[in-house]
Amino acid sequence: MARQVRDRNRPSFIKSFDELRSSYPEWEARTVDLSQSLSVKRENFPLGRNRFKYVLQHLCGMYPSIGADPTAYVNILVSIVDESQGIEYMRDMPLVNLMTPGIFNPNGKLRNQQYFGARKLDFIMLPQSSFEIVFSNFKGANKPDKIDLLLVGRRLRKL
Amino acid sequence: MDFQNMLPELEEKKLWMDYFNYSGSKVVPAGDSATIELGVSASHDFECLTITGTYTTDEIAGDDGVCKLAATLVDNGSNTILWKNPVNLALILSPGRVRSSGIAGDPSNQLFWPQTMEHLFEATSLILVEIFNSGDKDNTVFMNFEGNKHYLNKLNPNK
Repeated sequence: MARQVRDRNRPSFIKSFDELRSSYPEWEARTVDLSQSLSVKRENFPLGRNRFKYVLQHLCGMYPSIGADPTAYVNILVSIVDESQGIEYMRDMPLVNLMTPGIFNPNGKLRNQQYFGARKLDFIMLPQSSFEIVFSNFKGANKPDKIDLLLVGRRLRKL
Repeated sequence: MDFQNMLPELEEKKLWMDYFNYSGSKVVPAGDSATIELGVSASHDFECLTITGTYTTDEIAGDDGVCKLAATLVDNGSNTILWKNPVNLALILSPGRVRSSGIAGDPSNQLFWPQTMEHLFEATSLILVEIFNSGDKDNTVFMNFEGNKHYLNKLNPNK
């Protein structure tokens, strides 16, 4: 039974106990401020002086509904790029598909606190580099005031 | 794979594992913080696989269903900061919210989906969850770390 529990929950990236021992989680939360009038918003994530590779395993997030309508469609596009290494990980992914459902109603009551699922990515990034998450396609009033991001990552001592 | 097939690997690593969970709760005062401390037993390492939990969303004006709680996580055994900055609990305990009063038709969520977080907490280490409450009323948090315990240098402590 113990083996079944372990296997059922084992994500694809970590395949052995030794791999687990040689890596550790590194999660980062950030609030992206979209309250200003913008056409593009770029968020930079430096990986610091840590000499270990970083894996962006999952990305999840949530954003408040626009105005009084908790069902308004948010048509923002998301890209993830590492310009220093010339690597493009994601291009123009609709936010609604990346953070699903993502939307919550800050006024409380109905339609609030739903399931904010994590999107599986497994992007492997070089140590001491940095990457950007770029939000674009802002049109008029179609953007929320902020996005709460959570980057579920992992440092690899080996590989 | 069954236990018979697994025995050679376990013998080689001098490990035996069983399902286990560490859990704790705390009332977090309004505008303040509180820490859940979970001590890993000296008899085993704890391989955390997933997190579940619940929280309340009380305000002086009533339960509005909006999460005001954020947390950081530290493994003091390996002296590692696993969550670099406070992570909104709505994103990791998903949905996680327990309704206190709310309004009719506002569901108290029943599906507590486990969030994957793999980490090996060594024997005698402390799992430290510091929770911050930005609301104007006390809120209660319950956190549950689920995984396997690995006995130290024993094949099967039950025999």
